[in-house]
Amino acid sequence: MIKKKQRLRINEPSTGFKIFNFFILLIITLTMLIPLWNVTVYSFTTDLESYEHTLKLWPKQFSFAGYKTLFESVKIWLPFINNVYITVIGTILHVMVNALAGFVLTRKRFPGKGFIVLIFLIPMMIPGESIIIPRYLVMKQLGLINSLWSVIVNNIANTFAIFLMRNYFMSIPISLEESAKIDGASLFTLFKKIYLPLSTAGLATISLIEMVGKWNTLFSAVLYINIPERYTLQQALKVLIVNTESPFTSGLSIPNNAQAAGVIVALVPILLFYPYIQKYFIKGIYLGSIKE
Amino acid sequence: MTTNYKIRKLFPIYLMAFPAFIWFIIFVYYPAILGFIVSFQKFHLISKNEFIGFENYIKVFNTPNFWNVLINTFVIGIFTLALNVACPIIVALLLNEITRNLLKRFVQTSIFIAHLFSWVAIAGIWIYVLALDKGFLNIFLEHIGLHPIPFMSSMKFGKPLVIFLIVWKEVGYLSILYLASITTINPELYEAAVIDGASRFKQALSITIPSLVPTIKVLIILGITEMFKLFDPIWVLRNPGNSQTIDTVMIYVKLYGIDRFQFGYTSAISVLIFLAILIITIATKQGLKYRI
Amino acid sequence: MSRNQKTSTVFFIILCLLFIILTFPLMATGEKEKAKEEEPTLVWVHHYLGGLNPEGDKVWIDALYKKTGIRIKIIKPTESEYQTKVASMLATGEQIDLLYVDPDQFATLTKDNPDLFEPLDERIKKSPILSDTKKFPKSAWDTIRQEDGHIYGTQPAVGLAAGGTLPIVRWDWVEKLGFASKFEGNKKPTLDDYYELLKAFAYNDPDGNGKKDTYGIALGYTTYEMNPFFGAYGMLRDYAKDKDGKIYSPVTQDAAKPIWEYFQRLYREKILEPNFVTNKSATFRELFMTGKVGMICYWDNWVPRLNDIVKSKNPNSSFRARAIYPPVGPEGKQLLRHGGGSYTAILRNSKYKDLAFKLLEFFSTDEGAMLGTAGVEGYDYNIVNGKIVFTEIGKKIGQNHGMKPAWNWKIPWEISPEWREAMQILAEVPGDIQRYYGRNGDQWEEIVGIDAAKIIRGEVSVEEGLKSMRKRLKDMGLVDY
Repeated sequence: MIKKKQRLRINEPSTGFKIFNFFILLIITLTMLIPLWNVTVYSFTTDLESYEHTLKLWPKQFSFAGYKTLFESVKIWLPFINNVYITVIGTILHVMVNALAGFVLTRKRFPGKGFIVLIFLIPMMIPGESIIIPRYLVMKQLGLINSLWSVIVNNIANTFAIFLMRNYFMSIPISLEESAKIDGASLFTLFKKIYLPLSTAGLATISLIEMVGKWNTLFSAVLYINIPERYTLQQALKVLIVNTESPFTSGLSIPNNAQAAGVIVALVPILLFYPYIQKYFIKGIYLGSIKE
Repeated sequence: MTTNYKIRKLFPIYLMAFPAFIWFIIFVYYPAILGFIVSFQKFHLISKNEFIGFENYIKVFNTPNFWNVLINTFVIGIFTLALNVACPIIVALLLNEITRNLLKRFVQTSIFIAHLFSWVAIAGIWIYVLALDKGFLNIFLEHIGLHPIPFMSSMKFGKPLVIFLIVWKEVGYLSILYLASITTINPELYEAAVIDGASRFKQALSITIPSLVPTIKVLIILGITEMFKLFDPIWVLRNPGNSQTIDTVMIYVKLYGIDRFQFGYTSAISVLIFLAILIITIATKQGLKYRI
Repeated sequence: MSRNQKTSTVFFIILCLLFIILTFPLMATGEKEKAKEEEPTLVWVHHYLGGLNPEGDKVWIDALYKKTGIRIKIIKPTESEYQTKVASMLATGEQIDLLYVDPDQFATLTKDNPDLFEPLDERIKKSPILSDTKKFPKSAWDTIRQEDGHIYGTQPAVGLAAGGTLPIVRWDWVEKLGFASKFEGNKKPTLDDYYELLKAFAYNDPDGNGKKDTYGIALGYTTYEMNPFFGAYGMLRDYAKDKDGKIYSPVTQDAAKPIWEYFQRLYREKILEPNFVTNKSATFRELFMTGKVGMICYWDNWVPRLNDIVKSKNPNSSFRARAIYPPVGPEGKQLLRHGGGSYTAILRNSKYKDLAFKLLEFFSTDEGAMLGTAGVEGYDYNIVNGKIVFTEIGKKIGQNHGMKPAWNWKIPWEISPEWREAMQILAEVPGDIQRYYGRNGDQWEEIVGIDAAKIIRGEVSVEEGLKSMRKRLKDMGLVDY
């Protein structure tokens, strides 16, 4: 097994630099946190106050009205479960397929390599808009319309992820592979026992990206799913704001605090989950194991 | 080598590449070919399409403002790409310097948050900040005696606004990619550098950044493909005040293609975009001396 | 791997597979939804039909079924995905029987697909309900007659289905600032009267907090809704046809200079709320409700809703929204914009055209009008002592379930005097609908908006701006001059 060691701090940066660093990051952090805080505050305002269009740092009057409206207008449980379903399955499939594909690209010169590289690279150059309708047709032919699998299947192989994984695999010293091959390891064993474990940062990265993407699925859900029981979370929430923008459709007016509450409700699970995955790209995976 | 041995050696490779391969064929290449065919047709919703040759392509070049839109796409694309490489690296390096693990994780989570918001939410928030009378920034400008500036609806600030917001939104997420790469750097390299008396800055320059070069190359190549597909931020930020200067090619695809149910036209533009991306990517690949 | 680990891995994999297989029917069944016997189900694609949420939809659909014996399925795509969704469904042969179209969309869809919709002229003639010329005179049908001379819907631009936009003011401020006598019952206020009022809204501290934090008027989408002011010169937004049959846009002509100068002045003097380019309708509605602005120009049926919303959250507020007569121009002209022109059309390749028509016919009866506006008895409203009382849900949806009566239907529930007033104004003042002649209204707004923003902000002179507007429209082939 490969041991993980703490990264040694050899020399400390100067205090001046530390302060400078702190300030820059503070400014950037603030520009991110203030909008988030603003939305959170709005989700706890009264209906009337939420109609104000200013930057708020605290509600004039604290209220749960937004959340009340949200949970009354939108039956959130089912979309939430649908979201978990598509995110978990989608991400697992995504990681498996792209890790394997990325690994293939690390193999030196084999017949058909150029062809495979092209096949993997070209999809990224194709603008999505032109294939929306043909892809709808494919989904229809596969019988996936109204099935959550249409959404799951939507981004399983992805050029970006494949090349990213390839990169992370390439940073693993070749000596490990060579010594394993001497011990008679097959390709699959190489992948499973050496490359996969050592590239957790890469796996974590593409998992995170895909997880967030799947969790926030809206467009493909609206396109492929017509049954309310199968709505994704964002789709169900969109019902809240569906009519407030068009000047022609009068009637439905959902106050801003409910919309803000919707944003927060969709965001919270990701924010809670994120720290768990974060440690994979903060902690260093020590490669000193070569000596062992 | 006997053929049997060759097959046995190659088979696992092909097997691993297979899932991604088949997915691309079904969900990308097949729809793309259908789309390609449609680009030569006049698309009828319920009756049979008719072939009209290159008419759609000619229509693309005759679209009013076409060249203007193309220039917008290029300018915004190149600046965004450049900043999307530079800024996340700087942020990753700064983040790397933080010793306290908890602080590091907090900052990192915070800057990642912007990526989780939809563009609709981001535009909504920045409209407050940049509003003419009650926006934070304009109030500040008035305080110091300057005229308020209509940031969100002026021609002068159109491109800078879009570029800034795109970079701001993605800096947290992109810096993760670099951070993950940094964790794979062998600490022994740093140890050796310290023994040689290198300052932290020099270490960053000669160790960290060079090791990020493979990741940078991948992100540049992939970033080129994104350049032409820029849509979401422009769609939510555009208004008659700035549309002339920020409308990109994909916006036109949506406005004059999809929204008008002109799918032949949509497909024609998409084919042209694809060719453009292809050519530029090949050129960049040669330029970066990027070997797969 | 040790033996133990191997077993647990295998076990884990089997568990996963089991999970997927078991949940598959729950989560994954595609097209083969529980086939609902031989009863035909019509698919109706609409922006805002039915209820507030899927639950409300179901209640409404069941009520409709009880009254007509026809079952429908409502598909309500979100605004931004609407076109793509409709296009995908149509292009891949998905069943759509009824489709809600506004004039823009109708023109766009039928440009390359002239046979998409079913002309309803014959059916209307044969229908006892719709051929009633007292209820639906020829002039009504002419409001939705298409360029090809046919009629494709059953809802002319009349009655609640139409409505109109007019100036709406904070009447409590009007009184406080001493303008009540000037505007109360004044059927022909001048542009100068309006200017004085708007200036007072901005400068005379109507909310009494000692700060200059109010504006006279707020607009959105750059030029929305400037129509009541254009009406003072007999013009409306979008297009018109001159006597030679040539298409032009009246507000881009030099004759419209005075109005643009008027707004230029309002902006310069900080009477016009400055974010008019980025404001959406929700934005200026909310500015109005939170006391940041004294006037907006908007739809008549929002007058009672604005009052309801504010009063329900803050009963002690002095807020009172009222519609007033639009300004009269120097030549005595006065014009308001009427709505309508949007309706549900039947797809020509629908298998259930007769049933679809029966449905549309139903909404032209009194019962249908109730269902399409007030909603479902017992869910949206209750009848208490012979009077209609709306439930919480009913109030939220604002008496709009998607199919408003397109004739002068007598509303059976109490409506606020403010709304009655607004409708009275619409009936008295000359009115017209915006015309498109097959062009796209959003596009007009975008193109004209570029120069409109510059003109109003004083970045170009009015002459230059209008010239530029005309050039842009002409270059796009949208106007003849």
